[in-house]
Amino acid sequence: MNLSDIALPIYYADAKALALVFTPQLAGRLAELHAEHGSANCVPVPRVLTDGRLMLCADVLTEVMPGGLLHAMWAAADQAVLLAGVQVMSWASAVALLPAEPQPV
Amino acid sequence: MCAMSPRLLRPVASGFHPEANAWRTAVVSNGGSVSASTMRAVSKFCADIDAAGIRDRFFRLNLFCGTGLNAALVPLYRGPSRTGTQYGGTTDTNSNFVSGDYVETGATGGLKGNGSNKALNTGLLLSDLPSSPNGHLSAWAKDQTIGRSAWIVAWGAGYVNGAYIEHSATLGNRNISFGRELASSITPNSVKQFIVTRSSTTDQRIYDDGSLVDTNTVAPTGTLTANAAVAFHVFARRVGTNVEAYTDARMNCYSIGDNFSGSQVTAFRSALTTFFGTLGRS
Repeated sequence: MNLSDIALPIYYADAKALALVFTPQLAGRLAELHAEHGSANCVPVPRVLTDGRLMLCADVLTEVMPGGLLHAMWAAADQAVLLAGVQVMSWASAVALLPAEPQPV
Repeated sequence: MCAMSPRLLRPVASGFHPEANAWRTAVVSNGGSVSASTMRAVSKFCADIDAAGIRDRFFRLNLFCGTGLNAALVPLYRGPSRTGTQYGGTTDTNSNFVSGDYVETGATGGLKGNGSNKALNTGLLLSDLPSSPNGHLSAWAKDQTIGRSAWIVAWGAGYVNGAYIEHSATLGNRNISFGRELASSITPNSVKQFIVTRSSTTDQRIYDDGSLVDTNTVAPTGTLTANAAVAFHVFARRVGTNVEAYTDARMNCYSIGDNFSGSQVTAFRSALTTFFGTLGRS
């Protein structure tokens, strides 16, 4: 499944059960969009998965509609590239691909 | 009968504590808003802190309140006085929190982490504290479910002799330090407010829900000052350029600042309890 399969707007409860997975190249474009159109109120910071791809929780999609914290970035993005280039998987599957966290001492 | 002028129904600026007014101005500037009831609660909190004589203990304090996530990112205090030097970011820089993660009032009130990628960068450095390496960290957090290392207010390299508060929900570990770690087990999520405070090289104290649980007289190691340029993060820790060890706790507030005495801890807790009670939080 990819981002083109997600109907927007999306409910927060549904979105946080999903993850957006993408390439480092798209992550770079995301950073550029934030630098041009974003603010410190919501900085999408992808995490690196063990296979080298990057991921965000899909709940960021709840902020892309008009009035959302990420709307300006979303409106400026190349939708065709995003919708085709971002994979959507379950949040649990993406979390399983994160590097192991440090354990309590 | 004439309708009452809307001007008469707005909260009167002069009726509130000046720091509450300054905070509301900052919230509005950041795209948020503040209800009249929250203004009254914040004003009361500011008055209680002043009356207790502990205002200068705080270099940063965020009560995570106001209407909307933009409001919750604005700390109430950014320095030991309103008119003096301000430290850290004008807001907590938000990595990946969205509006749905924040609820202002009620049992689910606070800002909720997810244990994987949501964190705040305060911009406040250990070296900003006046008597560094002395100081305090506090957090009021609950509902954590993850068992791995998870950080509530952390700085630098963390482990053992850094400055941090950490709680593991399944293992029951509570690791807390301002230069000298106390690693011990508690019933998971049995404590909501953690405070660690250091007033000298031979006095570090830890309070769980306002009760003194540990006093350490061993001096901190060089780790505490080696990373003084790394900013305090909340909901995770910063190690070099990496942010890791995220918590999924629901946080009511955090504070960072100068050291507390025991009576000051009590006064702080009393003011917070009153504030959270007004917001329906526990």
